[in-house]
Amino acid sequence: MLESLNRTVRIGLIAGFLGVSFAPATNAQASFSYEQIVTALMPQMAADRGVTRPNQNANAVALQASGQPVAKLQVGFEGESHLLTVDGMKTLRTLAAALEDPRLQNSKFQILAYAYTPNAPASAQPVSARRAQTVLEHLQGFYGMGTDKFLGVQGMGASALNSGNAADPMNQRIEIVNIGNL
Amino acid sequence: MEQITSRRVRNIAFAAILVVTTPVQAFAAKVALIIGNSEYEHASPLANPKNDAQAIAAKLRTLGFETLEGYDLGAADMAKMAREFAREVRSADMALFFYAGHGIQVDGRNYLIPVDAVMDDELSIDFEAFSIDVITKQMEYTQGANLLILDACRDNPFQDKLARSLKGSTRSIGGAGLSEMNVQDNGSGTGIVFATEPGNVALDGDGQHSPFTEALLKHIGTPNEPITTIMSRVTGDVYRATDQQQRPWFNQSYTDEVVLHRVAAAPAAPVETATDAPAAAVSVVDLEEEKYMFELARESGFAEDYQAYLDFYPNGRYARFARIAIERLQGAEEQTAGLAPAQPEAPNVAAATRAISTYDPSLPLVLNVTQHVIVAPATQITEQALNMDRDKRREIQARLNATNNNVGTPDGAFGPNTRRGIAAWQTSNGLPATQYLNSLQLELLTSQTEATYAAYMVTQSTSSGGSRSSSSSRSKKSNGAVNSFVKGVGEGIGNAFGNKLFGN
Repeated sequence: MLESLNRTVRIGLIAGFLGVSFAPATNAQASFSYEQIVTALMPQMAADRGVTRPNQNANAVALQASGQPVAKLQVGFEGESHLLTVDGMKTLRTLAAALEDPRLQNSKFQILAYAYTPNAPASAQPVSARRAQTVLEHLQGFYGMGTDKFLGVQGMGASALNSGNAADPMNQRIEIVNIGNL
Repeated sequence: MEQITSRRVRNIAFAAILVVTTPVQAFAAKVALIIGNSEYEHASPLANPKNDAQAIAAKLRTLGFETLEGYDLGAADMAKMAREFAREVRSADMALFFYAGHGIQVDGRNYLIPVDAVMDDELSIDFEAFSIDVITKQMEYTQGANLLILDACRDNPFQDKLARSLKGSTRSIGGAGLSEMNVQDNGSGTGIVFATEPGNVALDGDGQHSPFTEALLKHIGTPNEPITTIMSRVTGDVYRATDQQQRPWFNQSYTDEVVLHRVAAAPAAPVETATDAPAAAVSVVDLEEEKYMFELARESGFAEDYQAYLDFYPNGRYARFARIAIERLQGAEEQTAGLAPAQPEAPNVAAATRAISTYDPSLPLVLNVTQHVIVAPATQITEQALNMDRDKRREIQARLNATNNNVGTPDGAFGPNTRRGIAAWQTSNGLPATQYLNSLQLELLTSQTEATYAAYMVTQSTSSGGSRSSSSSRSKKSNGAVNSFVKGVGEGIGNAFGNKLFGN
């Protein structure tokens, strides 16, 4: 009972959209918006609120180093599973809307999922892969976003931790990468 | 008054009343045939069908139906009633047939049994019993929606009698109850409600009404609810009331959302409790005044005047006519404006919409059943891929209960009850009833039951009195949003979750 409750509560509190390196947790939900996702993903435009631009973060993965715009999202999953929470689905609702923004009209995206499971390190990779797939299916199933929008999904496992803190929600993040007009 | 409201046709006074033509046509194009057979001459009488039918008829009249009623009918009278009904349905927007009494299935066909039937040989099926096909065939001619409600699956003595005489014959008598049936029509679809699953026996009940009718009376008048929703509530009630022995069964092919009782922008109509005759000692003066106001509205023919009447007499004697009139007037207005008629579009295939307001994370999540969701396979494999542990399975069961597809006390094991519940939930969402979930369906179910589930978590965390600061902040946060839901689903969720979930 206690455990289940705690799990849900934790997810409830951390859900939303977090700036990786600077947005304090309390402001995270307030700074979560459609506009920020769009701005983060727009080619050649700086974004500085709640969204990380390439190379601003020490943990940036190789892909970002190549200069592609990325939005780092906290999408809620239950515990260490790939089952979306309602908050997670709400984040995807905003994401779906943002990806349809005219400013991103010609862009295609890749979905990267991260998972940090210190108690079962071997499951990080498969869980992250399933999360990426779940996000794609959700966007396709409920928002009609087809493969014309997405070029692929990838489970990144624990390959790029945001911090060594197991409770850091950004260790469980979803990244949407704008890979340009292909 | 009698002429305006309905025609109550009893077998005694049949011929005299048939010729009545009424101004109802102008108002209500909802027609119902109601038959209740209790006093069987050649079998032990049933206690409830007549009561059931009368109560349903009264209820339907309050919902604006023009009713044709017959009680304890012999074969000839049933045929007459059916014929009269056939005449009416052709101009009806909605046709409803309710039958309570004995029924039987032979060769996969369903027959209703008139009170004078002897049923002692094979010929009796054709000449004494009354084929439901007669009714369904006529319903094919409606332009609107049809609904058949058959509370006719009671265990019956004719079954054994006939089974004995059919030995060695080529005709086969079905097991207990009625058989599944399908109806084609050219209107906006047909729904068939059985008091229990095909092949099962329904209970007659110890009270005044059968458990099925009891539940039907409670829910059928809910304003602006689609039939599918009403039926899932009825199913839940009956299932609980009969200790999970009886599960009503609903098969439908509606192409539109069908609403039995549409109330035009009215304050919540108090039909919920109006199963009995309006028992009010109102003074004559009041009645006169009320009548005057209604007449005024009728003469002017303006929706506003009807509304004015309703404002004064929301539960008044003419309230339902006023509502129907408003509905009609508004419908006509919309049509002249070149807009779609009042019937809303089918919710099942509604495209996903993304209005600006939906970006707000504080708004409830509403996921639509898209074509993509409908065609996504849902099998044992897709369900296994969800990797649900026992806690999660318990949660799913509780969520199914919260949608009124009762699967019993959540135990974390998906047995036949849970499978049936999943199938019923799938059906009510326009999904193929595969009995297994996939990730999209899980997400859909989760979103639909979030309010009820959150409410449950709140009560749990406050009642357990824990010292967890994080949980109390969560409680406060969700309380406001959830309170309004709690009332509506309290009953369902209370039963659903009990105290056993999560082992407490």
